[in-house]
Amino acid sequence: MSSPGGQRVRVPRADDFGSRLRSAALAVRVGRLLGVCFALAFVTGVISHYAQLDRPPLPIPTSPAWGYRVNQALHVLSGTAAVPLLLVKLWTVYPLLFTRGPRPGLVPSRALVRVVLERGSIAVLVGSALFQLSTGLANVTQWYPWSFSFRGSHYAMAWIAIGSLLVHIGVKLPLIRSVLSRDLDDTGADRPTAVAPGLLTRRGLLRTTWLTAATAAVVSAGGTLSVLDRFAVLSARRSGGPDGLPINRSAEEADVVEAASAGDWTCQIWYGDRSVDLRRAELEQMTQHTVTLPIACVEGWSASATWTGVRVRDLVALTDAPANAEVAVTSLQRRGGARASVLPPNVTADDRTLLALRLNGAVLSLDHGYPARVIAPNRPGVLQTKWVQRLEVVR
Amino acid sequence: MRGLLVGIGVAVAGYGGWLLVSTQDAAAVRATVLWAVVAVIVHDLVLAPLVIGLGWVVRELVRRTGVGGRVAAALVAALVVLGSVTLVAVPVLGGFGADPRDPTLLPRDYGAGWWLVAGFSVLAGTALAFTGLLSEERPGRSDRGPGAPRRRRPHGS
Repeated sequence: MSSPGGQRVRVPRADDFGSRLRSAALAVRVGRLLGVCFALAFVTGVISHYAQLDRPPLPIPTSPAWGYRVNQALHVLSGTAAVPLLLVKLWTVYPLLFTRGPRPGLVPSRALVRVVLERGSIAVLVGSALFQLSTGLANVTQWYPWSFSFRGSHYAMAWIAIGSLLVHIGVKLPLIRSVLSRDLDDTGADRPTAVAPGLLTRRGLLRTTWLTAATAAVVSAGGTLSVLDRFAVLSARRSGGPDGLPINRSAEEADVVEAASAGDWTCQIWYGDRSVDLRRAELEQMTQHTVTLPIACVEGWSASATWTGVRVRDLVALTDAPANAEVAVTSLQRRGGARASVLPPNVTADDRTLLALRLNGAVLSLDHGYPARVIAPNRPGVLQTKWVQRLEVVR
Repeated sequence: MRGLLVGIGVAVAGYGGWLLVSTQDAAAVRATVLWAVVAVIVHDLVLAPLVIGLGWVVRELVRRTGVGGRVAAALVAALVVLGSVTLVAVPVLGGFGADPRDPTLLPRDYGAGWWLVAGFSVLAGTALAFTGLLSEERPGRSDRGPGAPRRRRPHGS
């Protein structure tokens, strides 16, 4: 900015910003990768919402078992990488915030309407983009300093962000094409005053930006994948490690300690008017199966574990229900999310879908769902119901 | 093509707006919009001016100490990496959302983690700068020849 000393403070003008780094040539190139990150985060987010439907119109396959895990990893990695990209993008175009538009006359001119619409669409884009990234980052540490539903608002704003991004690309398409057809150091699309060399070259700033995006993704969101976990020094979770499998809601938080520790607990299996009650010892006497399956949370963390227990299809068979039944699972948990889920027919029928009694060889801990929990392949963690009280064949 | 993109974009964003107002009550919608508006204000009127101020300080520092272009470039790159990662890690560094009943949430030593990232930022910035990937000995050279778009080799000197 010019004339920092001596003069009266005034609102800056676009011409005050002299760095040749604040250029469309950089904005377009950073924006291109930012757009890819937003598209990835959007698609994986929509898939995650779909996966949480009780009765999706098209069933989600149970294989590959790691599908949802990779989906969530892509979601948090692309969202986290988008933060530095968005910051650099906004830095390169910041002077445009101070561009003077046409003077409003008595009758609004076409040019004025155009400027108002364009700026309005950018305001919506920037607002929704900052909303998505800030709320997403807070959600990872289960920090909710707001009064709206994270899930509802993050989902609705995702559509607003991606829609206004499409509008923005549409409006800027001629500029994007012309900038990308020329060299990074071409000044054709620059403001006339943006000529001062920076401390970095344009290529230098781009390289720094890519490095920053990659670093942010790995150190902050790397805890979502075991291969990145050791580098994820600022990640809110561990993908396994000495502390074992992460938990999203402890037994104490869910207020189930008493009910889950009760000696007279039984798992009730219902099919129409038929029902079977099984104590934990009786479940342990049934044929046990061991599977290695990841548990992947909607918040992005995931970890693989070895689960041992009874196949849900074997339990359902005790009531003479068909093996490919839809099964409603109810938890001992009385309030809060994740206290019920529905196993679609393809999940119930899968050999790997267990009512798990043991985790990594040891008896399930209270926090992991003792006396019994559901574990199934390729499902959001929120549907892997803990502290199971009842399995009911719905149809 | 442009009209198509704008048309689809308006429809998709409109669907998002409809989702917002149809799935949440009025107070939650207001809180959502307020969060977005405050986020824009915080960026445009707090964060961006802070970064401009920091940029001015760095340039003055470089001018007064007379350090070379590569040292300056290494400093800028390290600050960009560390500043951005610190911002991303605010919820983690602040321990917001931590719950003593769940030791698997925020299980790491994040102070040590931040210093590791700081060290990495300096090392990576220095490595990039001193292999000539961030700055040039003669800045602005490629702007001279009018109408000569060519791909420069960044470390040709």
